[in-house]
Amino acid sequence: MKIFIILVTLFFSLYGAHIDNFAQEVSYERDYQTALKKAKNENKMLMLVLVGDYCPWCKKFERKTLKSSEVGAEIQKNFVPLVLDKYKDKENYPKAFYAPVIPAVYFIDPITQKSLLETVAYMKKAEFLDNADDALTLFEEGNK
Amino acid sequence: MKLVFWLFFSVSSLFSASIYTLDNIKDLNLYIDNQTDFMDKKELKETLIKRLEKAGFVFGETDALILVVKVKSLEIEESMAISIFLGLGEEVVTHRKDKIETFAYTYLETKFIEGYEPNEDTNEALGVLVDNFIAAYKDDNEE
Repeated sequence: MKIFIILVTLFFSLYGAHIDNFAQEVSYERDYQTALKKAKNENKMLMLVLVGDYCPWCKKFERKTLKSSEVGAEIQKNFVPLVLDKYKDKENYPKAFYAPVIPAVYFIDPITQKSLLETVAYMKKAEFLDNADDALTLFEEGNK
Repeated sequence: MKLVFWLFFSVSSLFSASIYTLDNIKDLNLYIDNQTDFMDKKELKETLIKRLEKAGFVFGETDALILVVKVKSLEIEESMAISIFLGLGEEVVTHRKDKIETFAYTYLETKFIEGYEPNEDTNEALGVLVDNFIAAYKDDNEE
């Protein structure tokens, strides 16, 4: 039993390392409230990326889309990005963003905390950047 | 209307790629494990290589990745239960402690069919697997 608990703990600690490493590598926040405060201060949208440790589509989305330099530059310029595990972090973000499908990305107005645009499933760089542009346009229109 | 387009493109992306990452694959070595008595291994190899070369893959190079095709069959009364496997094998470095190196399948798709005309049915199913592999490869490698 003891060995089982150690193995389970080790498994989850390994996952934590993965999502934390990813967040560190691409400079994403890991705490909803911290990211929200930062987004308000900088008058930027909050970009919430929901992933799961069991989800190969999420890993591919991180690897091929979010880690790419062109997507990274666009995100850092216009958004405050945050990555959370849909299940393991579920107590730490609003239930409204509990996506039925992952990977999911919510572009959130930091003042109203409402999603202006959502994407689900794996997306390539160009498609994702188009969505990010649309979200930005909606945000800017709302700020006028 | 915008939402409809967004949903269409989002959902379509679910079907446009595989969960595997097939970037920068060029050289292949085809290995066929034919455990049937109705398939001609030589003919199958020639057909598959021709198809894959047309898609841009190169055969005959040293240290190429191995595309494995396995076909197994079991006779059931008047038909045949056929299992078809297509996998891309290569040496990888894992995330395990000490970064263990191992042979791994980095692409895998299988089909299990019932064939009344085994040769034709197997060729058709294998054709679908190869087409899916080529589509996933192209999808990952286009800019």
